[in-house]
Amino acid sequence: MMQQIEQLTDGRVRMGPGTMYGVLKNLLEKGWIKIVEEAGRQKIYGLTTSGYEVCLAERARLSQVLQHANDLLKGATDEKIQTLPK
Amino acid sequence: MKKFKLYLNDETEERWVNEMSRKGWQLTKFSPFVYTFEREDTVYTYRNEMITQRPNRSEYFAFLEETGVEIVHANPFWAYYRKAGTEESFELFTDTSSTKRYLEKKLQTYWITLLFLLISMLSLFLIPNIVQEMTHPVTASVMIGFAVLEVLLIVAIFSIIYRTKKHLRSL
Repeated sequence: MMQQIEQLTDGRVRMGPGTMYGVLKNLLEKGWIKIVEEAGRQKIYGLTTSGYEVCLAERARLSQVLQHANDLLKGATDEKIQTLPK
Repeated sequence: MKKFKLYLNDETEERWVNEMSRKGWQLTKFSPFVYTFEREDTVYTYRNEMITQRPNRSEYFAFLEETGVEIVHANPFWAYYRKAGTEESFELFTDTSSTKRYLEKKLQTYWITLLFLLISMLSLFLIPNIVQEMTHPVTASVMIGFAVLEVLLIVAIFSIIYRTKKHLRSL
């Protein structure tokens, strides 16, 4: 999972095992994920309904943020940048 | 090979252990002052962690091992881990909030240790007739030796607290 995160973000987000462990604990406590399979010592985690809802809500929030940025930067052109103070 | 060293700062100690690894000496065991190394040419990155505040240690270690981390050695207070590869490839904590939480827990342990030391030092005065006893040269020198040791430990812990706080502020 840690490698997947790194690949997905082109190496921008790196997940150390100490951080990852804390994140998983936190998500479990919140009930957003749960252990769906335990193969020996390996644990497979899966989203719960509330976790899925949180993901959707977060996606909506982020797309709203993007929308705001687009609105604010509407008509941003190279010429306009030239007129701004350095 | 055994090396005898005294490190007050775990971050400096970790740097030294990694330098030793670059030279082909791999840490396999540690206890206060004594570090055991074995000759091996693999390049490892070592990380240490204070684990006094880890509630479910075996579960945590199992998790680390699953991510390809090797538990080199652990005592009830500290653990050393390693992973083959360069220093950038293995970091325990990679974001500000988890690093901060770890440093804060470390600070908490240091404060508790300090409190414990201060109490044990003050409790010397609870020994009956301590002032009269101090006239006896043997008792006096044992007492003074003990007090000096305690003061040194207290100063050391203060300096660790100072450095940890500085690190926290820089985040």
